[in-house]
Amino acid sequence: MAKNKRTEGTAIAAPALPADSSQNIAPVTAMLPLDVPRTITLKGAQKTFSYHFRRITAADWQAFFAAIVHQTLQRGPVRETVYESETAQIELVEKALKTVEGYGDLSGLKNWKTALPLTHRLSVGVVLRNVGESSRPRETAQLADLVTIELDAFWSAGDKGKATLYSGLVHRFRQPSIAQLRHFNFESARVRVEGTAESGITTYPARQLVAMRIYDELIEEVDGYSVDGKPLVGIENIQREMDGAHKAEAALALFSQGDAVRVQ
Amino acid sequence: MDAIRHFKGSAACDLKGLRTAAQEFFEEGYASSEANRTIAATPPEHQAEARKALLPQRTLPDGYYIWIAHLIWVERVLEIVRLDLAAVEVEGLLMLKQERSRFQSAHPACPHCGMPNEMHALVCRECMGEIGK
Repeated sequence: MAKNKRTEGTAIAAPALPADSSQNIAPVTAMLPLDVPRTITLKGAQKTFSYHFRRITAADWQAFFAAIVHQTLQRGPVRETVYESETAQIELVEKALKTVEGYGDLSGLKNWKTALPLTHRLSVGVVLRNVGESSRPRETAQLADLVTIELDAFWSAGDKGKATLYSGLVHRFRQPSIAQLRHFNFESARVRVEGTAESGITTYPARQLVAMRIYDELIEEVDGYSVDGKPLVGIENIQREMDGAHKAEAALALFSQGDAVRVQ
Repeated sequence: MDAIRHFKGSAACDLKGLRTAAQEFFEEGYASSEANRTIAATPPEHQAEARKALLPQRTLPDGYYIWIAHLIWVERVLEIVRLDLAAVEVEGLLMLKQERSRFQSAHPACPHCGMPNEMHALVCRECMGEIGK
């Protein structure tokens, strides 16, 4: 237990802003505090901007995943894949943002959220959903009652908005049943189509939505997360408290188990 | 085949489109073993071109083939365990069974290796064994 490695930086290097050269990464031992409101700090050439968020709910994440556009377009012999998540990111930021600092007096603005620079909102949105399967190699050969998935995530909390890289956040699942596997495949394959061979569109469903549901059905324990300063334990607590983006990533990784093997 | 028709909705619900996709899926599988051998022997820079020339072209948006792949997965799982299915899956499986029978009638299996062949082939395209004796 608690073998996760934490590394801490002073700021996230936002794509639209110069990276902070003082971003030294150092190991820390803290757990990811799910209930502490998130603050993300962007460092510009001369100024620092802070974004303070309310807690992002499961409903926020569901709306976010539903708003991502994933399509393949056929235009004669040309086939094109479209994956557009920027609109969803901006919507998520605007919905969950409580206050900002660094932009001066905003009281005269009709809608201060939409007045914020688009590149800043996009950069912050990228950080909010910065979670993925751990880069550490998976131990696929080990057979166990529970399947372990590890995630890496950037998370910043507290007033200072210090971004911390949490590596090896552990999610342990019960083995999915055939019915659950069928449910996941069924929902993933329920694509919408429009048009013809020469000019056709395939729109893929948001697999994250079904992944979030299946997460709640299968999760047994997690390691590396805290609520109210204490480790997150108990299935009901995990179902209620776990971040939606982490649920989706962990469950999607669960269903891609075994991809790395091939017959010699 | 009716490739120029226009459909909008869930691929799983368009049985007419799925029927076309299933036919193309079987034809693709039929052509693939021979095509893959040729593609493997082709220089890497010409492989994409060779693939396009040797494999039948799909005539529908990707979504139909994704649903067909799901139906084939369900069909295989049903050989081992019982599954509760949605109505669209049941309808799709019945259609898939019909199309497979149709394909198998047009492409009888080699008595030696089991690979499908053209109706009046005298020699198996896979094992080169004599057919029809």
